[in-house]
Amino acid sequence: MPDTRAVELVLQLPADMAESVEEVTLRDPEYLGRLIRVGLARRAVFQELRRSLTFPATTDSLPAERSA
Amino acid sequence: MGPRLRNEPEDRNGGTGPRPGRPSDAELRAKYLEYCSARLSEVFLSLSDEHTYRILEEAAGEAGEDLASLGFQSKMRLVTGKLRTSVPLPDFDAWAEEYLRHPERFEPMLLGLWKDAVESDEDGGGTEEA
Repeated sequence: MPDTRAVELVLQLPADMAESVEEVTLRDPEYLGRLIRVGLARRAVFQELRRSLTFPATTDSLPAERSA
Repeated sequence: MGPRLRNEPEDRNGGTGPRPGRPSDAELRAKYLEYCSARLSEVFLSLSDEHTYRILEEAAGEAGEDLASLGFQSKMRLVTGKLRTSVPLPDFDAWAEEYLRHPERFEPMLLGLWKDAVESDEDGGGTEEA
């Protein structure tokens, strides 16, 4: 189990959505934490792909032209 | 000029300039990256903790890095590198053609990470986090 610590978040959400968040948090206190992990994983993978994936220099030509 | 659909006619002016409503090349590339990151993340999140740790150990060993000293971003870098070798991703041209035909199939998968990348590209900036 990695080290953990609490993080306080204050979000502005539409009122009905805010109510849902409160309801979900009461019912499943771990849920929002899992949701944030999913989002952060997506973001980290995106950043890494952005850093490491290169587009060929010929990307700016048309696929049809390249395949001709 | 970026990917254009095969057999797509030239614009009304007979040129090949950007079409109204067509995403810019930077936007297409950024959305492609986000699509790929969604695919890899889906696999990553389906792994058990034990499997993830094994992948991390293996990747850290190959990179000569000490797993215990790595932070979240560095671990994700290693995992992403490993997943890229095992998860098939479409090539950019094929994806872009499919996206231009059916953007509605792809947009729901995107969280909007691509927007920062487009803005950064247009500002001449690089990646946010190395």
